[in-house]
Amino acid sequence: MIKFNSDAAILHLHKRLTAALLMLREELLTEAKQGMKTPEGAADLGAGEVKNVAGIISAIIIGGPWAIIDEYGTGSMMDTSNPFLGQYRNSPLWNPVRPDNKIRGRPAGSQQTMFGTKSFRGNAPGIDLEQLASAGIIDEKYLPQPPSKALRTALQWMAMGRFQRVISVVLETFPWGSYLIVTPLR
Amino acid sequence: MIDPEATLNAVQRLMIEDPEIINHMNLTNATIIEKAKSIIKRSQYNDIANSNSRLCIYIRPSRRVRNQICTEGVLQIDCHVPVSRDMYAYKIIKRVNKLLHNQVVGGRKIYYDGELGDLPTALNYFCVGIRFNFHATVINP
Repeated sequence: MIKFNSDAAILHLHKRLTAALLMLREELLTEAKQGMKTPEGAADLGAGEVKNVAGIISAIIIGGPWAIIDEYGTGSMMDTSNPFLGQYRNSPLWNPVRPDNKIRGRPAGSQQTMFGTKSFRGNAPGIDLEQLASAGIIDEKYLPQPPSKALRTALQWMAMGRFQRVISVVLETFPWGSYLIVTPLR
Repeated sequence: MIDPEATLNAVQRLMIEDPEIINHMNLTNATIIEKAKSIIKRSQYNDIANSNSRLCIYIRPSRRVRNQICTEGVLQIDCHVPVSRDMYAYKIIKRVNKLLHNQVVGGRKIYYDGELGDLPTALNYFCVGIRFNFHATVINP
């Protein structure tokens, strides 16, 4: 008689798939970090927790504000296809005297920003700081930054067969035979 | 053996010596130094200007394979051209693939690993990238 211990096999396969997913996440993270334009953006990307809910294994990558800035760019050069841009613009984090995407000075007072609550002196409320920076009047950090699209590009590269290849190796090398129970009939 | 320098040098030399790539990049009358400045061994493109084209040859993070003494190296080549010459990027990438896929370059057998089309680049530029993979042992004698 041949039996298959499916419970033990599924448990073992689950462990193998989780390990493969962790390896893929590491690859994705390294790829994305390499594609970031700024060291702050690369340092702001990290690995989150691994979840297993209702049989679905998920490995998370977390990006902080520097990573978001690097990914989508800043000021007039920002990527407006960012799906959360509308939400950001309508939130208290957006500069209230910034009618367009250009980097502009904030009004005086304590305000919420992507980096937490900050106090502003209000030296140039609503003034186009990009123009002043390009003229060399103020620091270059106010120049707009193009999007790196590092995370999206890394995901696209990985989705082009890499995910499937790793998962198929797990399935091909899984010791299915170890879970067969063969007993001779008397 | 892990030797990214040799791989990059061999690929760069191959690109610089190819008349079709040089022609598509408008470098026919350029000196060898000018060619080496346009076909570089880094991913840098933010300083590209004056309607120059650029071919960036660089190594991406390697991938683990089942055998622990081997690694899968990833070589990426991005072609940046002015938007007005966007079709040349595809022509150059096509030629790059012909020169590298299934060929031994710098002592390594290189295989096509995929392309993504439009990649991030400088303002008013267009970029297409292609990837190749190769295997190497991790032990350097």
